[in-house]
Amino acid sequence: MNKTILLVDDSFSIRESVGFLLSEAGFKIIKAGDGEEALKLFDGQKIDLLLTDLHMPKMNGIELIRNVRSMEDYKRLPILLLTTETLNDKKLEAKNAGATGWINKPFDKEKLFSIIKKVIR
Amino acid sequence: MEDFHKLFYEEAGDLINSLEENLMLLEEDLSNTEVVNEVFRIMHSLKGSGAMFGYDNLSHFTHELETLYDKVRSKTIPLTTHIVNLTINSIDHINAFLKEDDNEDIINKGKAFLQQIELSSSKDDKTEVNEKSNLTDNDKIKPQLNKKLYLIQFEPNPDILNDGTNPLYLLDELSDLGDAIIKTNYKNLPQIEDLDVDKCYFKWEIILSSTESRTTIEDVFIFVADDSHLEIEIISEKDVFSVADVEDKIKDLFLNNKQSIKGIKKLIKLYEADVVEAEEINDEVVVSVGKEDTLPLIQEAKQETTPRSNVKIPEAIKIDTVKVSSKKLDSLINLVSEFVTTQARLHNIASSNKSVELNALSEDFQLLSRQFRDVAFEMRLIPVHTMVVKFKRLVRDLSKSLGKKVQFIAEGTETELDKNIISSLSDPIMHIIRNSIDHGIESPDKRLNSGKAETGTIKLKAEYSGAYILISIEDDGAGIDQEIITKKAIEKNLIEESAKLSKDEVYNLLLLPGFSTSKKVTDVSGRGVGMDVVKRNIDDLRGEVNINSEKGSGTKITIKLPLTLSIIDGLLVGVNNSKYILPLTSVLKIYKVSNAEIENAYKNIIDIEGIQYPFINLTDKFADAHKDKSVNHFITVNYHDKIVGLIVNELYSEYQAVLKPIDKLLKHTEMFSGASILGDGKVAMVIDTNKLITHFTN
Repeated sequence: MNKTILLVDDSFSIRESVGFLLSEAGFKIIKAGDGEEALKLFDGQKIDLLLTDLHMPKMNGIELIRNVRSMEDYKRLPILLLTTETLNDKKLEAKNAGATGWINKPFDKEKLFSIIKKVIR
Repeated sequence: MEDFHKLFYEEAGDLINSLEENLMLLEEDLSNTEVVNEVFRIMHSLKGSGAMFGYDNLSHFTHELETLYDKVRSKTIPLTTHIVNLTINSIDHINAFLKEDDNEDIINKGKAFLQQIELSSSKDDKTEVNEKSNLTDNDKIKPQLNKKLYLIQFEPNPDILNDGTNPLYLLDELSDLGDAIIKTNYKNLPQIEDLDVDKCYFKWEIILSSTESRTTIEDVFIFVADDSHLEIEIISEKDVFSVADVEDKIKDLFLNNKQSIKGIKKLIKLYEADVVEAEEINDEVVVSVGKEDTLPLIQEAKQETTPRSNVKIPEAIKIDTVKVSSKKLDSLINLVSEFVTTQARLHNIASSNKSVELNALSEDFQLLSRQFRDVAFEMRLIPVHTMVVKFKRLVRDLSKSLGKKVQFIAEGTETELDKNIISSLSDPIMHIIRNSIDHGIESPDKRLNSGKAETGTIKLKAEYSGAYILISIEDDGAGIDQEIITKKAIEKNLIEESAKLSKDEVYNLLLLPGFSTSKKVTDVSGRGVGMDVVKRNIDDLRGEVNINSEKGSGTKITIKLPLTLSIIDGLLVGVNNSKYILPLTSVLKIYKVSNAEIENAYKNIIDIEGIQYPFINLTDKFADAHKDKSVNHFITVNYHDKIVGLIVNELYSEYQAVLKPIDKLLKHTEMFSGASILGDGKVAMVIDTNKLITHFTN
């Protein structure tokens, strides 16, 4: 079974390029442009990993993570934050909200997969 | 990734437009926090995406502006008209960076501008952090070839499972870095009645022999380091495990708790003296082709050639894939075909010779040739994905020029197909997609009026189904109007006016030559080259096209294709003293029937084990001068969603058939997918059961 990754980023080019890399690697990809849209996608399908941007319109990454963690089925869903923040307090805030880890932007293919490998196999 | 640069460029354009708009709003109302947030977010997007696509200077520039607006957001600094004006001016710089990111002049101008901005916002230490992280990245790239021995003690926070971390993956990752001996410590595990399934009670001790640096090992635990107990210790700078038997000895002592960690550390220090330093690196290159699991023989051989000695092959020169020209692959497949044919001859001679030894040899040969065939075919498989990029592009360009909004989704693109099939499949699919956008998906207004989302969707999905692959192209457009098609078909004299057709039959009209339903001919589709060409192309690949549509809600076209083109597993049968091959994938069951049963059958239906099967008597259909009336076998095969029986005289064996193309000039060739040369030099026709049944029932 292919793992399904929900990719949330308000940047179309990032969604497309990162989505391309992931689907090339055999993952099933679903995409959303903001937290609200992402939350809707949790209905009725199995999601194995959430990759989300931090700053997005409507609902930001942290709120999305809080919402996802409040769902019984996704209490243990691996969640990675795509972020340009290099400062630790934002990461800590995300960690506290329930993120599993983070990927610093910019990243390349190797970095992306080496981090994803930490949370799903 | 090249494709995506253009995408980013366009997206950045949109972002800048929206930035401009928002700044105008801000100019009017400085207290609008929502707009401030929006400006912050746009800068943030430009920074993040810019960095991803190599616009480093743009990213750096917008980073400073983002910082500024973050401060405005958190009310650290007040927003002034001056700042807003500066930001409006910054748009020119952003545009300049977008055009030429590494132009010195632009960079300098940008710097000067940022200094102006800096007056409004104090500098922070972020850039320093960036440089630091770059440094560690470089460290990682530097190859460190000597193995070290690490002792890692990892005791996660009991709540570690709650944020989606699976500590076992981290141990897996550690094992990927070298040879790991992992010991799980259960000491904290409570009695079962006190056990909380959401908690992690384990801790782990790991001895890892690896060439990786300490930072790399620390990176494994990067997300959990803060709230776990983690100790990483280098217990030997030397490759102690290269000394014979040491690894096994240590493993035994460590895993079975025969020695304390202290004792093990001491032992390892003792063994250090025996380590022979790695000398020159052997320049042997390990080559493994494609998926390793399909090549067990090669893998075994690989293990043998890399004995646990002090000569190591560094990771850096290991090659995972080898590029081979497709010409060479084609000639390999040709050789495999010849090989399989020759093997059939050997089998023939062996079975008539009655020599046990020769027979055994022939059987081994048969097994090997089958494996050989599969491996050779596997090499030619490439993922469907390789053609998807082309489709995406088509959807984008075409929908734009037609003023429609269409999104393209591709699923299962990792599904693999023979290279030759993929190259002849791309055009038909392009045509189908073109049709979908042109005739299927409605204009945005029309879609909104009929209660659909403004943006139409075209979904391409590839999946395996037995020895076949199914590729479907589905749109959520207007669907096919059966009435219009029927009318058109009558106009073109393709059907009688009185004909009553089922839904499927109506859709099949679309596949007839010279059928085009578009009321006006556009330059996109409807040039007279229609679905009939698609069907012909797919036919040539021994595939099928199936159309399904719901008026108003969309159309789905499914293409069913065999996985490979040239060799199939078949069932060798005899009809009137000639031999034919049925593809094994379509054969369901084989029964014995008597002549009487066949002669007494009413309306070509036979009752076998309580089930009534329609049948086709091939001994009648393929009758020439003499008709063989001897033994009759009844073979049931799948025909669309029905089961149909075929009657033959003789059953010989399973047979690997090498398909050779047959001349189209021969009569009735459409029911044969090819011919195959048998071991005795005779030719057997390979039957395409679907087309055979269609041929004889029409």
